[in-house]
Amino acid sequence: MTTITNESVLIARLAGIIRRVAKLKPEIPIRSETRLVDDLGIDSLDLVAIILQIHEDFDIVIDEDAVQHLRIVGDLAAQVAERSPQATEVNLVPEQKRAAG
Amino acid sequence: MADRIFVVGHSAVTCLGRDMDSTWQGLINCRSGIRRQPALGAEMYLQDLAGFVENFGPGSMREDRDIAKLPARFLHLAMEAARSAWSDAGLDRHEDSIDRDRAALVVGSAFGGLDLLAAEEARAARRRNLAVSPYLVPGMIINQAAGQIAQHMRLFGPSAAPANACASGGHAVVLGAMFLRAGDADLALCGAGESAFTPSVVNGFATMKALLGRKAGDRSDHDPGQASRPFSKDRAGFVLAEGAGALVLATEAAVHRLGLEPQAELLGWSTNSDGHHMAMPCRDRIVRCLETAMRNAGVAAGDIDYYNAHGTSTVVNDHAETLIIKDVFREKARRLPISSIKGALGHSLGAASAIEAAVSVRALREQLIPPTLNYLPDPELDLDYVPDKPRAARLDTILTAAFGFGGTNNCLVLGRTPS
Repeated sequence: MTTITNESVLIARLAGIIRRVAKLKPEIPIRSETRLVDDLGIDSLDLVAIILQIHEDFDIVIDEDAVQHLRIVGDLAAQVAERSPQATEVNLVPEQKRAAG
Repeated sequence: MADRIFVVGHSAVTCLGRDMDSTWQGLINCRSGIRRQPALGAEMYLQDLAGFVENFGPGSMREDRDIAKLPARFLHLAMEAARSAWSDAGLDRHEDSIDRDRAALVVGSAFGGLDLLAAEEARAARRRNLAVSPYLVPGMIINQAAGQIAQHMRLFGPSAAPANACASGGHAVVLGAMFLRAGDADLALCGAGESAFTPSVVNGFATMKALLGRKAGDRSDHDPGQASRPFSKDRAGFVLAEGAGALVLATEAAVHRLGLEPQAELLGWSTNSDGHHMAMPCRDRIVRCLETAMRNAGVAAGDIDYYNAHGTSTVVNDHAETLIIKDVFREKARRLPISSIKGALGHSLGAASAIEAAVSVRALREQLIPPTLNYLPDPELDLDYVPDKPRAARLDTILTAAFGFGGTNNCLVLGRTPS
C-alpha cells in the first residue's frame, strides 16, 4: 500500500492549480522536481496568476521577492509550507485527509 | 479604375448556431435564438431574455493554451468566426502560397472583454489585496481579438480593431477593404465578436430604454422568441445577444493567384459620423452614408434588390431607418424588400453588422431573403419588411447598413458573382 505524505498532497494540489491556471494538458506530468519555465513553459504572467490562485486557495501571501527565486514546483511548495505549515492538513478535503493518513 | 475586391469567405457564430450553415438554416426556417437565460437572474439583471451561443465556451480542449487563459467570450467567438471564414475561403489549403505579411486583420467589438472585467472585479473584492489577474488587461482590450487571431493563424499584415459600437463589424469590413485598396494587403480577414453580458451593460441598456424591459403581458412572456420584433408596431427595445461574424476579402489579383472562388463582390462602402447626439441616429447623415456607398459602388438606388436593415427593434431606430429608406429610395422604397435578421438573432452589438454582412453574402449565393420575424404591421412603418417567411428573389445587389451609438454609420454594397 502506498503511503501518501503531506508533502505529496501539497505537490498534487499545487500541480492542480498550475495545470488549471496555465491551461496545461492532463498528460503533462507535474512533480516536485518539474521546472516551471523549462518543463512547463510557464511565463511571467502565468507565474503571477498561479501565485494569486495560491493566495486565494491557501489564504497566504507570497511576497514578490520570493517569487523571483521559484524554479521548480518544489520551490513553490516550500514557500506554501513555510507560510502555512498546516496547509497540507487543514485544507485537505476529508478523502485526502484519510489518504494522507 | 479601382481594383475590384471580392468576398471569398464568410462565417457567423450566433445564437442560432455555431456556424454559418446552422445560422442560415435557422434564419430561413424562421427560428429564433432568443431564450430566457437562467444566468441572467432577476437579482442582478433587468432582463433575462437574450441570445446565447449555446455549448460554446472558453477552455475547450481544442483551443490553444494561450487563448484559453483569456476567458473573455468575445475573443473566442471572434476566433471561431475567423477560423471558419478562413476555412470557408479555402485558404487553409493554401498555407504555403499565402504571403502572411500581406494578410490584414481587422476585428472589432463594441465592448471587448467587459465580462472578464466584471468577473475579475468580483474576484478581487474577495481578496485581501489589490491584485487582479495578470490576464485581465490582455483579455479585455478590444484589439486582442485581432492579436489572438494573428498569433494562432499566423497572419502578420496590417491590423486594426474598430470599436464603433453597434457598427463595429461593418467598419471592420470597410477598413479591410481600405487596406486592400491602398495596396497594403492582398487578403483581409474582417469581422467582430461580442459578448457583453455584465450587469452594467444589460442594465445600462435597459435603463436608457434601448433594451426590451420586463413588462407583464408582453408577448415574449409566453414565447421568448417573440421578444425581438423589428419594425413591428409593438416593438419595445432590442434583445441583447452575443456572437461573431467574419468575411475574408481578397483583391482580384489574389483571387486569381490563389485560385479562390469569389462569393460576392464588395462593390462599394461608406462610413461617416452623425456629429449629432450620443445615442440618437441622425437621419440626414445616415442618408448621406447610404448614398455615398451606392455612388462609390457605381449603382443607383434602383439597382438595390434587398436592404439588409440595422433594424434593432427599438422604437427610435426602426422609425428613423424607415424614414431614411424612404429618403434614399424615394418611389422605389415601397417596392424594396427590407428585412432585419435581429428578429431571430437579437442584437449582438458590435458583432451584428459583421453577421449581417455574412448573411447578406449568403443571401446573394442562395437568392433568398431571410425574413423579419415577429412582425405586426405599424401604420407609420409602411414598407415591405419581408415578414414571417423567407422570399426567393433575384438578388444582384444588396445594401447592408449599421448605425452605432456615438453617431457612427457604415454601409456596404455587395454584388452577386457568377457561381
